[in-house]
Order: sequence, then C-alpha cells, then structure tokens
Amino acid sequence: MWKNIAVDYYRAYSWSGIREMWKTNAGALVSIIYPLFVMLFQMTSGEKCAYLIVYLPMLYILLSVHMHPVRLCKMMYLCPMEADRRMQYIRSSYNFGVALRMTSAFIGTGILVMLYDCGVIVAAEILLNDLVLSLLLPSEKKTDDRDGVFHKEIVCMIFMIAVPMLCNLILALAIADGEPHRTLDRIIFACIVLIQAPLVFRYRKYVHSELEKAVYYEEKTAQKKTRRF
Amino acid sequence: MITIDNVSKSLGKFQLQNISFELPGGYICGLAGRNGAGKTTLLHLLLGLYRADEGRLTVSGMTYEQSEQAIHDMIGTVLVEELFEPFYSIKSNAGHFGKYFSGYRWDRMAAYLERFGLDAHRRFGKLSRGEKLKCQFAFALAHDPKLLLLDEPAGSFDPDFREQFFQIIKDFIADGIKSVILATHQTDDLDRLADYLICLEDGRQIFAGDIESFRSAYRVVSGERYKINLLPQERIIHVQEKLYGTKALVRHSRLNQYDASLQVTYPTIEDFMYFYSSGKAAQERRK
Amino acid sequence: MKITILPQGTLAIYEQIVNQLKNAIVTGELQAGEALVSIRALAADLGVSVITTKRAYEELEKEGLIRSVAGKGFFVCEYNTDYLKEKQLVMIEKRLGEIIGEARQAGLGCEDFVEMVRALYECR
Repeated sequence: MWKNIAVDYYRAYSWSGIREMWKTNAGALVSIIYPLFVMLFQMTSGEKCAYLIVYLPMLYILLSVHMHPVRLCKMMYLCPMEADRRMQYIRSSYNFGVALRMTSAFIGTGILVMLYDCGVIVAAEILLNDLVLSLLLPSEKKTDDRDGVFHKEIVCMIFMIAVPMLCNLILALAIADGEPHRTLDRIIFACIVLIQAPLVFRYRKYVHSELEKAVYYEEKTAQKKTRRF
Repeated sequence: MITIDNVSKSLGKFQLQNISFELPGGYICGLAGRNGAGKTTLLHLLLGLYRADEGRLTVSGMTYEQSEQAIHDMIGTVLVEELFEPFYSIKSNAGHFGKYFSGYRWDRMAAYLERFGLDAHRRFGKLSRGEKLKCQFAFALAHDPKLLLLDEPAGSFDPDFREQFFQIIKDFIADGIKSVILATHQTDDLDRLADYLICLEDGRQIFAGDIESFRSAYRVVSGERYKINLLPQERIIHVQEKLYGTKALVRHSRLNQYDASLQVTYPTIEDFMYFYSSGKAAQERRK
Repeated sequence: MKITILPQGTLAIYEQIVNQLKNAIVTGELQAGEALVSIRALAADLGVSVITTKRAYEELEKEGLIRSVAGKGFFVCEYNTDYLKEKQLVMIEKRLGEIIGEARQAGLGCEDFVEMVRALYECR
C-alpha cells in the first residue's frame, strides 16, 4: 500500500498541476506570493541566506499542500475496495504527505543550524511553524455548501498560513542579524502555544471530516453514513 | 442481474425520479436520452459513485452499501472522462489500477491492446481521443467483468473500429450471463443492437423494458390529418404536421385497428424520443 | 436455409422471421423433429436482438409448429400439412386484400392489377 501511496504522491507533482492550482485557487496565490514579497522586502538587510533557507521549505510545503488534495482520482472510486480500506489509504496518504513536508523542513532547519548559531529553541520553533503549515489541506471550491462551518475553516486556514510564515520570517530576520533575542524567543513561543495550538486543534477536526468525506466519491454519501450512527 | 426499484436522486437542480427497471444477465441494454436527460447520473448510480436518495439498487443481488468491493470487481467501465493518468504509459496505468481487480491479468490487457492497435508503452496523455477510449475499453475488458457500463463510447471511435466494438459487445453477452449497459444518444445503434431499453427524458423514464415490448407498445401512424385526428386522444403522444402529411406516435395494443388509408409502422427509438419530447414541449407551451 | 430481414418494412421483424420459418416448415425445408438454431445463434446471425428471435420462436410455439425441450432447444413438431397450408392461404388472402386496397388508391383497375401480378409471377 505504501508503494501505491508513494507512486500516487509522485504522480501528483506536475507543472500542469501548479498551473491548475493557480487558476482555481486564489488562496494559493496569496499564500505563496505574499511571503515572497515579505522576504524580498526584508532581504535588504542582513544575510539573504537565512531567509532562503527558512523560506524554501515553506514554499515547498505550501506547493505540496496544494498539489495533493485529499480526494482520490475518479478511477480509485471505481476500483474494488472496501470503504475502510479506502479510508486507510486516504489517511495514510495524508500522513505520508505531512511526513514528506516535514522532512524538507528538517533538512532546511538542519542546514540553518549548521550555518548559523541559532540555538535549539529557535530551530524547534521554526520546525513547529513548518508543522502547522504541513498539516493544511488545500481548500476546495464548495459551491453548494454554504454553512457557517465552512467559513470558519477558511478563516482558520488563513491564520494557519499567515501566522507560521510570519513567525518564521521574523525568526529568520533575527538569525540573520545575529543571535536572536531571548524575548523574541518567548514571544514566538507564546504565539505558538496561544494562537497556533488552538487553531491546529480545531483544524484537526476539519481534517478528519474531510478525510471521511473523501472515502466516497460524493460528499453527501459520507454525511448520510455518519448521520445514521 | 440489475434491479432498480423506484430510485430517485437529486443533484442540485437536476432530479432523477422514480426509475424502476430490471435487467437480466445475458443482454445488451440501451440507455437512451438527450444530453441532460439523466443517463450519466443513472450510470453513476449504477457505479456506486452516487448513492440513491430513495429506492433500492442491486447488482447481482448485492447493494453498494453492503458489498461495494464485490460489485466493483465485476464491473468494467468506459466513461466520458479519462480515467487514466496522462503522464504514465498505458501499461503502467493498467498495472497501477488493475491490481485492485481480482480478475485482472496483464496478458489479457496486452492482447486487447494489440487487437486494437495500441502500443502499451505510449504515454496515455499522448493518445488521440479515440485511442484513449479504446484503451479504457481494453482495460474494462481485461479484468473479466460480468457487467460492462459504457457511456457514449461509440461516438469517438472511427467507423471500422465501431463494427469491431459492437462485435465484441455481442460476443461478451453470448454466454447468457454477462450484460452490457450502453448509454448513448445515437439511437440507430440501439435499434439494431439493444435487447432492453431505458429511455430517459428530463430525469424521468419514459420507457423501460425489452425491445419487443417497446415495438408492441407504440406505432407511428402517417397519413391524412383528419384521419389521424379521429384516433382516440388518450393514445396519441404527439402529432407532427408537415407539408406532405401528418405523422403521429400512438400507444398501441393488440386489439387496435387503424384506418386502411393510414400507414402504420414501427417506431425507431429516435422517432420515439423525438415525438415524446415534442409532445412534452407542446404540453408545456399549452400551460 | 436462409432468412432475410427487412428492418424497416411494415411487418415486424419477429413476424418476418415467423413467416419465413413457417414457410420452411410447410415446404418441408425443415423436417419434423429437426432441431432449430438456438435463439442466440439466430439473433447473432441475423443481427437482431435475442428478444426478437425469442418472440418469434414463442409465436411459432403458440401456433403449435415447434416445441421447446428444456435444456436442448426448439424442435419442429409433427404437423398436419393441410392445416398449415390453409393457414398460409388465409394469411396470403389477408395481405392481398391490403395490396388491392393500395392498388385501388393508386387508381389501378382490376385488369391492370391482374396483368401486374401475372408479370411478376412469371419473373419470380
């Protein structure tokens, strides 16, 4: 099964996928272009290297999030598979994706630690921020599902993109300028605990429901099933 | 083999209502209807991609709620959209999806590909539309299904392949156990090929049954207008007036007699669909 | 024996099959006790639906010309030739009646009609 997942994951990478994403998903545009601007803006001071090392994994993570939606291709819904097996496949797919993104984050942070003397705590904070980004699911257009839950999830997601990215970029700035200040550490830490943790906690419920919905081709089927029990 | 019992499904504005039908094993069933009549929706219901809002659908006695895997294992599909990944070769695609099917074998797939003149190592995305369909058809057959569900396949095939395609389908059902459902709006194929028929119009079935019942149940009557108007109104579905004469589609039963001056013929499926939809349109206008 | 089908004729396809098989039985082309081609084989051969050939065979069975043996197929019955000939004649009379009606509509007189019939008979 893991081989299939890996193959599926690899298949999803494609230039046309990126183009598709650009066209359909304004959110993608924002979440990638915006930090690019911030980075370029801030590259005027300090060493440029630090920004790149922090930014590139985040770029990869966000691209990966958008290119790997939870829903399987149509053919997979026609292949003989029991619902729980498919659920297992979808869940493993998602976890695989998160693991792969975090690997890039680890690599990036590892290089950062080697080049700069920034301390374990800062490295850990960068990784945690990257983790938040890794957990995201691409937002899909839902034209007939206009209830409050949906809107809250979008807001949640916007924060989950903006906050970690900002935090990481601030940390990158601090690293580039020399050893980061202790207070900065604490602020970022507080940010992680007070803002991001609750967001992630809330988001995980959303992820769970999306994974469940993806088991069936039609979303309504999943809703019907859960209502019965 | 397939039993559809009062199934309804709504998708946004479109509604498929009260479809009831039985298809035994060993027959070809034609699914006719204009674009938007509900053919694809019904096929999606038969494929388990959609689940019915009301009613019951069984394939070989099993429902999707209970035995999704078993049903999918016995169905081969060709749909309008491409089901394979474009960046990979035919062989790689077939292997990737085929492993889920218990009856899939590469040698069978290779044999069909050769028969259809396709190179297994070509990238799927690089094939022409007709070739892609042939490839999907080959894959649908390669896992030895008991039921074939085909959505508008023949339109994109070149003429010499169409004959081969029909022959394959006829051979497929020859054992008297396997069946084929062919959704198409090209009804002349169905006139000569179909054993059973479902006609959909606006989400409702206007006919469901075997082809002989269809032919016994309706007649196309042509002749002078006043003579046609003499026929009992409740049997007339629609009257079409043209310069050279008048034609009407009527419900028929064994005891019905027609005036000697009227010409009475069996309707083709196309006639039937045309008259039925014209009749409905006329009714709408009267309202 | 050959069966030819005119798909768009005024007679239903199954009726055409019935008539041709009936003729074959009456003329002795199909002997009593002989096995008929299976429904599916006939359908495949003629390019028509199995339902149609099934109906044709069922009609013939109803008329007592053939009988079905479970698991084996259809066989020609022992029959009374005269009775069948009688039935055939009735059928021909009925169809002649229809054609005469059409001839009258076309303005063909009796003499001309008989001429036409004679000419065609001699051709065939």
